[in-house]
Amino acid sequence: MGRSVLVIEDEPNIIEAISFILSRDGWSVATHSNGHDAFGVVQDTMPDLVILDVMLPGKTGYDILREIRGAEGTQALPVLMLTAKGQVKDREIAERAGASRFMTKPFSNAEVLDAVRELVAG
Amino acid sequence: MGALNVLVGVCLIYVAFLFFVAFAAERAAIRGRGGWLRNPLIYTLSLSIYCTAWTFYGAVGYAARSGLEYLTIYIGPTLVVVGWWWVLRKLVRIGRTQRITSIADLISSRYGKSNTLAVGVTILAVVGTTPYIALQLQSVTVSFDVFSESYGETLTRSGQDSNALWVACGLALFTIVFGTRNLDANERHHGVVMAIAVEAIVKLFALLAVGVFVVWGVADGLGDIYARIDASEIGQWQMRGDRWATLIFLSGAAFLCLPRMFQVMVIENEEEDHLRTASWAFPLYLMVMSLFVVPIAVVGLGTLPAGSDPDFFVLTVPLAQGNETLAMLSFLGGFSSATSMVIVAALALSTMVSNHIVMPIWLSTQSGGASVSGDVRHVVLLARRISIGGVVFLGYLYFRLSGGGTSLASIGLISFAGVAQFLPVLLGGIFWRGATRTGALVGLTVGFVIWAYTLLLPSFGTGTLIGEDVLIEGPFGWGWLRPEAFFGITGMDPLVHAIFWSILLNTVSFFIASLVGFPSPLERLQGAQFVNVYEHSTTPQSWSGNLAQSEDLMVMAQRIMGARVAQGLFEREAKRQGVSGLLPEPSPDFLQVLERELAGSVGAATAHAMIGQIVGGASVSVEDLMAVADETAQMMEYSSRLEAKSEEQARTARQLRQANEKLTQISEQKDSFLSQVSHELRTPMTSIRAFSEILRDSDRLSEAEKVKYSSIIHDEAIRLTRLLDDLLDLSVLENGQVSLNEQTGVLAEVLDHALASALTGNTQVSLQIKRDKARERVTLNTDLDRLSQVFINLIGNAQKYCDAELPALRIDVRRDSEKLVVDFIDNGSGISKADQAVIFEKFSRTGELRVSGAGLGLAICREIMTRLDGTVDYLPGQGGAAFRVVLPIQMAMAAQ
Amino acid sequence: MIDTIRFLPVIGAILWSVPLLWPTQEEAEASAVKAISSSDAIIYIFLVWFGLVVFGAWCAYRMKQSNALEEDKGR
Repeated sequence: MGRSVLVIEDEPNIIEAISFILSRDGWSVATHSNGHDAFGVVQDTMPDLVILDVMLPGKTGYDILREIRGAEGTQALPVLMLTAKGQVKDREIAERAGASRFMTKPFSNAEVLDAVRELVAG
Repeated sequence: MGALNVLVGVCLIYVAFLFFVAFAAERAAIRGRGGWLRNPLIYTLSLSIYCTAWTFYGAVGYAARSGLEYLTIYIGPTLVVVGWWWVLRKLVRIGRTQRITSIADLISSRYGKSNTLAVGVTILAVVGTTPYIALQLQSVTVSFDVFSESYGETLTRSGQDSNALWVACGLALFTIVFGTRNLDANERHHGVVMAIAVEAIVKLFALLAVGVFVVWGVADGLGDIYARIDASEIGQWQMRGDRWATLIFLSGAAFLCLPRMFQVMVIENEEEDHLRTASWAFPLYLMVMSLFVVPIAVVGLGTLPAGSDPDFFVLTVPLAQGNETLAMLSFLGGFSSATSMVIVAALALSTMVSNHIVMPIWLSTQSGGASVSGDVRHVVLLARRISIGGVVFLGYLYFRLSGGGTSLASIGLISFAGVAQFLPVLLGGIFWRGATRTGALVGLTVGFVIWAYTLLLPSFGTGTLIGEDVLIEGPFGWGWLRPEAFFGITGMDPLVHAIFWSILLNTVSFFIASLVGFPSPLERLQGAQFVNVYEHSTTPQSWSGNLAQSEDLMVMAQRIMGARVAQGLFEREAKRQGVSGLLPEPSPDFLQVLERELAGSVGAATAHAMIGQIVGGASVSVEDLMAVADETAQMMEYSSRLEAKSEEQARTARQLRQANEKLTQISEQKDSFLSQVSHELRTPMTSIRAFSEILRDSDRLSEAEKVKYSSIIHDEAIRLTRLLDDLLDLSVLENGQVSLNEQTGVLAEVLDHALASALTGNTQVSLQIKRDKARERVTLNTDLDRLSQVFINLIGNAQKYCDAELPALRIDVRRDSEKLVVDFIDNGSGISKADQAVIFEKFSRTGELRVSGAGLGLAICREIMTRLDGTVDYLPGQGGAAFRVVLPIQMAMAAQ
Repeated sequence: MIDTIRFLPVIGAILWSVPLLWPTQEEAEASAVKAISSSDAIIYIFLVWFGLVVFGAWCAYRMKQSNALEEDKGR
């Protein structure tokens, strides 16, 4: 069982926080901060889990998620979606696009860690 | 013989003088010194070719025979000229805008450029004018005869003929030399006009001199003359009312319709304004011309032996009194009258003959058609010269054949009645848009047939061309068709009868045929052009033809589609073609697009024709298309008014729909705003919560990590605070609750302050500022703090987003009468077109670089500027990102 | 002003149709009315004529004046 996570998020402070939490738990963390080539990075690194922000410069998280679900190889990849827009509508869109888990910011560190462990163990 | 030689000598000198005058006038016109040629008096004098030898000599004879009837011949034209505003002005305007060359051209041009009509009118004009020219030749030879008789030398018939031939040749030569120097109908024949004006003075002076001589030389002044008049055969009013009215009408009509009158009145007209002077000066001329006619006639009747020809009293009275000098002057007057008439008539007729008969025939014999190049001009000139010769020769021939008999004397009025047949068609053409070509043809034919039947044929004398039985019994015994008593109405004067029936039936058939028939599109075009000539040509300047086709198309399109739509279309097409400016090349693509657009307004066929006419070889001129375009615009306006009512209902429905849409939109905007606020608040809170949990839960953190994480928390907390501040600020501004704190200050200081606050504490980027402090010395009276806030925001943006290696910001200040403009222009890569549209929206941030800031800055700037009655906009095309702040000038007071 | 110019020919036509009312020589003899003498007729017709010329000239002058005025205003 792998322990690699790819964080796709554009706020540097949030990247730093998530990286800190996950690496303390023994995960190897890679980060990426824009939407354009996010899917390419996913295919290149083939992580065990992707943490995906919705509001990304260049391309929304939903679109990237659809790309992941649409491609061979990454179809079953667990994806944890994060969003700062806490509306019901956003959760629905995320589930329809195929998110494994959906979380609203701000989150508690423990919550994120549990979700990651669960999804990878899956 | 000696005196006769003197007379010939004087004549030759006079002719040489006329040549000289004409030549000098042409020279002056060519050298551009012809200002005096454009004198309205010259124009007025040139109109006097109305007074031919027939009036110069004949009027006295007429008066001697018929009393005051001769006056009608002058009264008719007087009324026409006095009423210039009605008809003459319009004729002149049409002549200028349509480049009319003759009365035949006018009529054919009006009725769909029909050459049939032109040929018909030309032939009729020639028929009507030839006897008249013969009359002039006769008057010259006979007057010469009168002189020689008085010296006891009787000229033989062949001598008369050769005299006439010489005169005819001389006149033809003169007309050719000065009448066909150039082709353009808009070029005036200055030489001819000038010579005519001189001749007008000579004949007036001659007649006056004879008159004065008669009244104060032969008789004993005015009182004696009055007594003699009343005592003479014509001493009492013997004018029949119908003849009086008919002749006045006839002479007025002829004045308008005579080809030679049309030539001087319309074609040779320099300025429309000249009519204003002629309106009183020409009646004056006519009045003076006819002033001494009766005294001369009465004295002639009284003093000369019975049986002497009253037609030449003007000559014979001075001769009988032994005053040879006066007789010679009088002879010159008659000579002038005759020659000027022949010259102008030949000029006018030759134009018609060559344009409408010779040229069409010549062109049809040429395989190349009208498209053959240059040499056509030469052919036209040659045709015109030959026509002049032909017309004069025809007159001479008529003179020879008719034997110079007395029948010539009556030909004047018959000729008048003939050309008067043009009147209904002419007036109908310029005042009635419904007049058609068929109507004109029918009317003219009917008029001329009746004229020939009732007036021309009987004039040759009973038994010559028309049998006595026909005259008395009517043709085939049909009594109601007797030439001098239509429908059995007898007792009418033959002339009155002929004019009454010919003009009446002419008009009626013209009218009915016009109503029954249907005008062709070209006729309708020309009809609109002629009848509405004042609207269609505010300036009598005609199309110069050297403008680019695109421009013509543009003008036309604007008239049909409206200026804005047309300009928009042309601009779009120009842009598509990559042409700078507003006019596209007339490429096939563009023409197709334009045609489609036009078809939407006027229908496909018309649109096709219109473009075809401008781009292809046009037989319809551009002005015509303009006229249609105007009409179309008017029609569209009318129908749009009809639609207005239903449109109003549609508008109400649309307003309701809009209101509904607006409510929905506001609701959506509120949702999206809340969602954005939520996002902007949650993002810093995520960092704060994550790092505060890390600080709380981890005890293995290094001191550096602790410091780093707490400062992140600190920064994000500040970011939250600023966001909340901005939100509140915006909310206050948007609700209009903000109270402005007006102060007076100098722009330079506001900028200083803004720069200082925007640039402090930010040392990693050094933004170079370029200012022109001299121009910033503008005193402002506004909320300086708010203005400063806007400036800080703009400067801050430049600092944050300018991606140049050596970032620089230029602050330009400019002021005009209404506003103060402050531009902030950086040297970065600017803002993309798509982003320009949204940067002033709330929470919009451009680029991929996340820089601190909630995306409310520009939205707040815009709100502030709205509050300050100014604007802030993105200024495209400046290289880097550029923002323009505009303040109304009442807030920015003048610099000290 | 324009209207005056327009009506000038009408006035002229009316004044010059007055001779229609005059008896001709034969009528005069028939009804024993004194015929109009030619000299009187001449004087009448020429007076009308003169009047038209003077009035026409006055109109033309006035029109020029008002045109000049309008042009001045236009500037």
